[in-house]
Amino acid sequence: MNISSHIETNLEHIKVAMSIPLSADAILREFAIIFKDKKYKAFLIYYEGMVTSTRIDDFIMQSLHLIPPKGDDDLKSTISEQLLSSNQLKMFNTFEEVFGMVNYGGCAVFVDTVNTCFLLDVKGWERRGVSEPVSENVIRGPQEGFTGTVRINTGMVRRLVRQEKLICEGFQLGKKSKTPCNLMYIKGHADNKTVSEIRRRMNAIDTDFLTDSGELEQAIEDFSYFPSPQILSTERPDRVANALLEGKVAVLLDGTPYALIMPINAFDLIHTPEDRALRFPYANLVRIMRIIALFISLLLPAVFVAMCNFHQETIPVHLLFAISASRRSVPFTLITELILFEIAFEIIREASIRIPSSAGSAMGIIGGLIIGQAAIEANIVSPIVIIIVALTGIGSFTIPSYSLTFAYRILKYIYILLGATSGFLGITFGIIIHLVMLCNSQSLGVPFLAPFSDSTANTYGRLFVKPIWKRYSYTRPRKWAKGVNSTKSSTESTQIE
Amino acid sequence: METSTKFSNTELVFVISNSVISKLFLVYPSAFAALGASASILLAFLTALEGLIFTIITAKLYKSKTDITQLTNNTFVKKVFALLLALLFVGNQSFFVRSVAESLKISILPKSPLVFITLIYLAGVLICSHTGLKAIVRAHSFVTPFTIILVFLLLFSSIKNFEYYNIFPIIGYGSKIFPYLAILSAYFADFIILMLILPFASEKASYKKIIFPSYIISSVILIIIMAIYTLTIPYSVSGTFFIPVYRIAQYINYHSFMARMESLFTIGWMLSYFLTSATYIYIASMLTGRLFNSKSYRPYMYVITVLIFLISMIPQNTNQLIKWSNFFAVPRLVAGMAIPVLILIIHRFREAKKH
Repeated sequence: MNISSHIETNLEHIKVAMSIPLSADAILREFAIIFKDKKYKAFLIYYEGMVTSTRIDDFIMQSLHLIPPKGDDDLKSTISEQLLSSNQLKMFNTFEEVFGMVNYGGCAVFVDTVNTCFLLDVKGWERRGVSEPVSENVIRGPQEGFTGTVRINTGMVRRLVRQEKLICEGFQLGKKSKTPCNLMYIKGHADNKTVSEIRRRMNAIDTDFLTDSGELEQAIEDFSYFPSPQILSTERPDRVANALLEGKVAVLLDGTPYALIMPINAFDLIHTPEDRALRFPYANLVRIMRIIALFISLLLPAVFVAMCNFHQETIPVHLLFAISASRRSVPFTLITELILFEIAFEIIREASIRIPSSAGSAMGIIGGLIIGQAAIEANIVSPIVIIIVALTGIGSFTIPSYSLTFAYRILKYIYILLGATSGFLGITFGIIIHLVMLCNSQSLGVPFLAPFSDSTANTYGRLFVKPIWKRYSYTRPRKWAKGVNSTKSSTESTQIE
Repeated sequence: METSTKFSNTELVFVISNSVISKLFLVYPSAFAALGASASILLAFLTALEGLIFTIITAKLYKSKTDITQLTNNTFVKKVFALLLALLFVGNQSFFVRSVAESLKISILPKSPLVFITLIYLAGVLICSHTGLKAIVRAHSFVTPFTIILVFLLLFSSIKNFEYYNIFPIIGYGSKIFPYLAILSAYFADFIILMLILPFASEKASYKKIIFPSYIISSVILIIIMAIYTLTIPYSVSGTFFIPVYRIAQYINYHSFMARMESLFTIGWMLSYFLTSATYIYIASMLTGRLFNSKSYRPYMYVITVLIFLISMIPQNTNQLIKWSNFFAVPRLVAGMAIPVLILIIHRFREAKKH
């Protein structure tokens, strides 16, 4: 609907649309201004709690009341050019545009006889400050995490990248929520086709509300039914900056402290931001350990069931006797026992996330120690099963990607059933199908197992950390490695501080 | 078919190598041992030499990247050759699948019914084939190196069990071993699949760049496995085992921890079997699809898999299976090596005439 030049019409429409006075935080202030000795009715509207009141007082109310208008311009030009002194002033002709801005911390000013609304950016809501990342802790490396405000987040990334070619494209997602969203990439470095494809997918999102990066991730990923995530979610600006320097693309959504990085491959999901900061032998050691832990979390229970039920010859005789003796009093079959305890562990894990952190240690003691000990003494489970479940759980904690942990937790049960049904044949059946599916999948055109499964995609991610002098730097691709211009490294470097 | 799919040289080398060497984890080494006794290693060397000749001939003749079934002008001949190859692959895989199922039953699943093992195996193969050639080829990049590493692990773990007098007399049963060489050269008949999937290779790929590394890997693995087998098992019994490599793995003993590693080795070999069968079923479906001018090959995969299952159940026992498998080496040799060479020669003559 277009804005009328009659202030009463506009006022009535605003009151109805914004449910004034029912909506307590909607502030409507009516006043009058004098222009060329004539009195004009005016009003402003904003939401309390989303704006900085002092900015409204200083830059809107004071300007409109105190500064005497001069010159021969008309009312509209005078207000926009001389009176309103805010740095971001926009003018709109429709109410839809006005509501979009007011809902996001804007203050709308309507003046009689002017069929345009003056919209000033006076955002000023309370927000969480920059703090340590909650889910991506590191010992070595930057300790800053994203906040819930997209503009602060893009600023944090820009501070690290420091490139004028860093593009920050703005989007509004959700037909009703109009959530601000930014697509970040380095122009000329990121693949144009990838950027276009992400843009296309984001524009194609057909939803009323979109408020979290998790929803956005599901809306733009390649394969929704594929267990592994195909987009990396991070709350670390340094990780986003490094990804941008590698030619990847990041999407930041307002209201969430997580950025989405794409395209990725399977190996990106098992890397941590700390890997870059560590010396390469240390980083490679922890990566190898992480890969071993990943396989343990996925396959250990299944291999244990298969070995106990089908391939006893692979277990040393003394250990086999010990397992057999420990299970003598347990009334359940091995598979039942294992699945029961795996489910119990999942419940404990879920409960420990949901309860307040102050009660977390108590949860661990009750869930892990007391129930575990009691279950063994009551002959419900055998000690070896507890060891297997605990190792599987600890293994899954080493996976850096939270989404990948979920994928492996689901797949673990499938592998257990396959192992229980047909031993190593079943496990191999699962592995080959899993492998083939991984080989078939991709993240925005990049093969998910690159560079191993596709030698054409060497740019994205590698399994091991290279020594610092061999790392890929797109601004100085080869010189540093060969020692040429090594004295200039401090001035040319694009490494993240 | 994934029209945009382009495979690199390395990926195709792994596909061809795996298709050739996967046989070695089944009854194949026993066939060498039964024919050559203590001369098994010599037979392996000579077979590798035959393979080299075949590789050189095909590399000289096969210059284009066209599918070999499309090299003839006559549509009828094209269809007959495609049908012949499809039948060869179905027959070959039927015996292969049965051999896999029998070997798994003997080695790791003695209490499970053969039909159950076969069905699980074929279900996995069908899912892999259904996913597409791109996925199958890329999965080879992981599985083939792993399989090769396992062979070397087997070699290093078996060294302490080597009995060097097992290779004497060096020429085994004497000159009568040499006529068998023609049959044994069918080991390299799997190279035919490269002539069928080469059109999906990248622009930089060529038959020559793929076939020679594949030949080297296949020959080296053949010689290593025959060397391990001959040096570990006395020739008086080496021709009688159904799964010789598994028998060698049974001798491996890493002190008291992993007393018997053969089941774990079997995982690697099974991965290799799965991908080999998936490759063949995909290609057989592709050839069958072409016969009927179908755009989608996937429906044929189901039919071919059922056919393979039914044929694989025909042999009454392992003896009959070995006998029929040995007999099937002749069609493998003819359809997989002789006819392709003949077609390539005719094609070259025709090309020469044109110019």
